[in-house]
Amino acid sequence: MTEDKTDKILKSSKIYTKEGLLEVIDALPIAIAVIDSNRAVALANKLAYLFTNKNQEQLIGKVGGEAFGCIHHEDVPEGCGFGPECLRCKLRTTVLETMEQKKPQHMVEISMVFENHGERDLRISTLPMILDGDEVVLLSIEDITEVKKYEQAAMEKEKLSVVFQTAGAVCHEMNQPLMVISGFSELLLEDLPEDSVQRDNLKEIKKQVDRLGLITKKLMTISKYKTRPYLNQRILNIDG
Amino acid sequence: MGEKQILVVDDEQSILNLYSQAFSREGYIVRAAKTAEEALEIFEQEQYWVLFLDLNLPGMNGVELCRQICKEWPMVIPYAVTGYASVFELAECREAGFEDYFIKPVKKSDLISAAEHAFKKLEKWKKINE
Repeated sequence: MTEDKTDKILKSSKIYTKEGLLEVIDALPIAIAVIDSNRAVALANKLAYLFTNKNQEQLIGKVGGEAFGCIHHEDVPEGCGFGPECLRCKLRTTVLETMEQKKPQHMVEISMVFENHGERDLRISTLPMILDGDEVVLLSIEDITEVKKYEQAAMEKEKLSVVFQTAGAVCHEMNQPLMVISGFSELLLEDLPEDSVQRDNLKEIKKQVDRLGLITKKLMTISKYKTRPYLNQRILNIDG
Repeated sequence: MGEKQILVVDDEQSILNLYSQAFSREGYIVRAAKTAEEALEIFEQEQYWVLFLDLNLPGMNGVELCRQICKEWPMVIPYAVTGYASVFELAECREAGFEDYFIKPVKKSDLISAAEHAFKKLEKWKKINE
């Protein structure tokens, strides 16, 4: 780092010491790690150790993916940052952008697959800062997997409610004319002689109306939001 | 209770025509109303013992109509005929005093069976009181 650049950063950023910063981040209720210019973890708070399920020796000095237990950190011999999946890693790009642009990033939602926890939804925020004279990135990690699940469940519930309301409206509107057609068909069938050709035709009409009646009954008993393929799209599966 | 008179209430004329023809063929006398208010006016003039009421009526709905009639004339046997009913609506129907409910489209034979059942019940009650 040139002296000019360092001066500029020092002037625009708050300067911390490891001890001072650790005291602050240890008191915060989310996992926080400090990433240095080599993308290695320089400092981590208590919740970061808990989140990664690692001790100081396993976490400090290790490059992001290895430190956090990303399943892709051993995809290539060079390690985290060099594999094909690393190009798509939003954690890596967010930290790198923060470092290069010297701008914080707020509430970036990402998804990662961990060796210990499986796939998790995370919300990360970054802040460029100077720590003991070095340019670093303060990275906070919030596990929002449960929140996402709740949001998904709420969305499904909303969808289901719309399905019920639509089904109710459709059934009500359709069952009125169905009752009229079906009922008068029955009356006409009573009037026609047994050997009448029209009787067979009318029976067919009645059969198809009854079929429609069964469809509306199925619609009324829908209890799950399930779809099935239909040509190039998906439609509601009324058979449950 | 001697005459087999039925009052049907539905806001669709086609359905009222259907009820009239279907019940008349089986020997019932049918009176039709298009609203709950009209049905109550008819009731003030003449007593009906068996009713087939649509639930979704303009103005007062079928459930409220049933509640009012059953309060005033508790021996009446009302049936609900509805285009759509959720579990909650059906529970409300039972609470309002409906004998049973049917979801449209209803077969003629089901309507006739319900009417026969109601009049048999009324006949039985009449004998007990004699």
